[in-house]
Amino acid sequence: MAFNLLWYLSLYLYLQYGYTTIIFQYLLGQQGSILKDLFKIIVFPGILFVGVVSLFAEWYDRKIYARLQNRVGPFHTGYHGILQPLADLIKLLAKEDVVQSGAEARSLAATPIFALTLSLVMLMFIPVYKSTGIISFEGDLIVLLFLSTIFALTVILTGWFSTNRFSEVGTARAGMQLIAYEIPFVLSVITPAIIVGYYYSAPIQVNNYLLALGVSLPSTLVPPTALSVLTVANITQIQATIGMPFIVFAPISFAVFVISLMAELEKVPFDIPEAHTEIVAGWQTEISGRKLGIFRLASDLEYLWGAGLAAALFLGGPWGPGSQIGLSELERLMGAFPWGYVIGTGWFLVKVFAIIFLIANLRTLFARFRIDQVVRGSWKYLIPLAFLNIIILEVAFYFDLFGWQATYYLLLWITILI
Amino acid sequence: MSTVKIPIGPQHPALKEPVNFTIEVDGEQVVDAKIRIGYNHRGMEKSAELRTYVRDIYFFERVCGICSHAHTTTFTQGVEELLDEDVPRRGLYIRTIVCELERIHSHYLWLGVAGHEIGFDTLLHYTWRDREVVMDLLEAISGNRVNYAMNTIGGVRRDISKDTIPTIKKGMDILRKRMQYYLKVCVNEPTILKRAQGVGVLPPEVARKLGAVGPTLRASGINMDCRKDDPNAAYGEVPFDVITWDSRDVFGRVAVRILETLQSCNMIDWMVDHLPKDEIRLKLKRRVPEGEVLSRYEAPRGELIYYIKANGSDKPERVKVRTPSLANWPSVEYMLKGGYIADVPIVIAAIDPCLSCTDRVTFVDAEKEKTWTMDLESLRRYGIEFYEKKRW
Repeated sequence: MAFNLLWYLSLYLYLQYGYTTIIFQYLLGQQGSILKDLFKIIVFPGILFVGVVSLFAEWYDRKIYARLQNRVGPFHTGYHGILQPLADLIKLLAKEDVVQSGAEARSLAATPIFALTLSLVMLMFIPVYKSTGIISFEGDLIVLLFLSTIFALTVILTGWFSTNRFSEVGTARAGMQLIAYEIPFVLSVITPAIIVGYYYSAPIQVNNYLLALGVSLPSTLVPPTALSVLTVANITQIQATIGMPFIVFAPISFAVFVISLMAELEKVPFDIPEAHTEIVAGWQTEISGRKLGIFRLASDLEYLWGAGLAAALFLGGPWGPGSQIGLSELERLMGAFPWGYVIGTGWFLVKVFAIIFLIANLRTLFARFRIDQVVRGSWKYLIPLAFLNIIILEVAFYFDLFGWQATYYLLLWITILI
Repeated sequence: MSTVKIPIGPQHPALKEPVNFTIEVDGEQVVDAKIRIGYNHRGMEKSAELRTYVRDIYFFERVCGICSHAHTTTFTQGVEELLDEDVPRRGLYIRTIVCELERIHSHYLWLGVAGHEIGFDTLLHYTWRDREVVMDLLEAISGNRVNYAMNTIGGVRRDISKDTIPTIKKGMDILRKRMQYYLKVCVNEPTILKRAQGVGVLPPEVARKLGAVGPTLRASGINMDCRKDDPNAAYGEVPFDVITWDSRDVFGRVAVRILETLQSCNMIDWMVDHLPKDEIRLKLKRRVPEGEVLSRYEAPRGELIYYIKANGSDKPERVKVRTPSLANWPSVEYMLKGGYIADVPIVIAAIDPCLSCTDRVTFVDAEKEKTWTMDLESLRRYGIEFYEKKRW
């Protein structure tokens, strides 16, 4: 426990430190003017952009879900109900804010804002139009995982502060579910980092192999540190450099990632903490009006975050398919040519909505699990599967003299056949 | 860890009907469950005594929204027995056809509700879409979707025309095909199996002891079906099998209902082909001779019993309704104990509870072996005192 706290504290300081350097950079004008960066945070890849995209994503998700169930879905507000999530949000924000007696009123008022802030900060790490997000520093992947755990914590606290019997059951379930999905989630996120680590410590043969393909590792990427591997920007850049999304190397990890992401987002087979046929609304039973509106927005943002992270880690982020002509070249081109940013954003959106489409499909397919079944299933199947992909990769890397990819595909196919 | 009492109902999003379950849980495990009914007493049995037999048909149609035809069938066949008249066979056949259509509609509806209770909303939307087929058929036959008003004392009120028969057969084909598909889904879908198998187990001897009826009983492996045991209407002539299942759990109840629906489709096909050519109804006297009768019928939810006592006038002296949901409550209490909170909704839903026909106001003191009733005023006073004492 004490060790964990120390660990979190040091991470927190690191985050602080990261922030301060960024702020200094702004002040010193190393990254452009303050106005430009404010624009970044508030308008384009920042709050306004992700807000609009996440509301659109909610509509898209609801529409697909409805069409798969032979329903119409949102229909009347705007073109085919496209403004429905926004209308819901405005309606909820205008509603009366009820706090029942016996609840921790002040803490209960704080948790939605906390959740919204967290999800916005989490989204700032996601690369939207180039390989770095608004915030990017070495080791930001760990910070991201940490923040997502805190997000789950806000859920637990909300239920706890409500002091409602249904909320308490929901809270206990949310905690149990955290135990179930956290570890497979982390393991599947680590897998791309391991592949990046391989490229960083790549022996000369592989470098030659890449050179033979006409690809050279950019010199900025060469000095490897432990933390630079765990960086979202580096993971997307490596994918662009080798011209192959990591889903090709880590399909099992991608599956584990999507499943545990669904558990984190409380989507259908895992909507146990808010199962409304069992415990009314679970942890959000007492949440109404403004708080509910903010929580819904926060969970929409988290949905977008999850899809964005999957896009960045497994699908190549804002880069299109195919081998890029050396990354620094492309970055330079993009900087000179604004259309490059538009194309990057376009690819990002395509990938994000592909993942949302996948999740919307998956959640029509299943009935809700029971909490004990989720925990058991996670530890019995998901975690071994996540490890399996890592082991296969490591073995393949070990035999890299003979072309590790051949070994890798051999092992992968043997596993799938088994 | 001490136990927590969770109230489910009388107002609860999962439970659309007014009933209260007080569930004592230890973590996620249910330790004890208590059922309270009687939130929606409508005084129907008493009101029936004030109406004539003909008006009572209209009245009992409204006991329940889903098995409306079952109630009138049971009532009218009881009265017909008191009058000692034989109903024309065509009338009986049409009555039976509507009965079976109602069973199909009820089971389709239930399958969707069961899917919803375990969080499988896709199943709900699919089954309710397909249920429209049978609703349209009922509308084509009777002119109504819910309260068909088909039965009358001495037969049925509307004939099935020749033009409707191909529509019915086509509808049966669609419904049979869809139900076979749902059978495939329910048997193969791992999440449904995980939530339904081994949940809400009701051993046959317990089921018999607690007086379970209908699909709940048959899923415990007991072969009991009024349509076979005590054939009424045209059931004596129609070939069909009684479906039983040995698994004793929620999955068994799903399977029994699905297979029963398939049987009903076949029965309707057979009856439409063999429709007799005589009258649909017989004009009978308004006054019913003195006597008493117990009328039974297998409603979609189980055995429905009407006890009718006639005193020679045109109004019944006493009508007693024993609905299948009421008979199944004790077994629900048994099934809930030892399960998980997550299983509570599906276990309750598995008996297909129908509160509109269940509620009773009779006070029973089990220790003193005493029963009594209360009038409205004293009931009101009792309620006020009860809640003051509880300080809710």
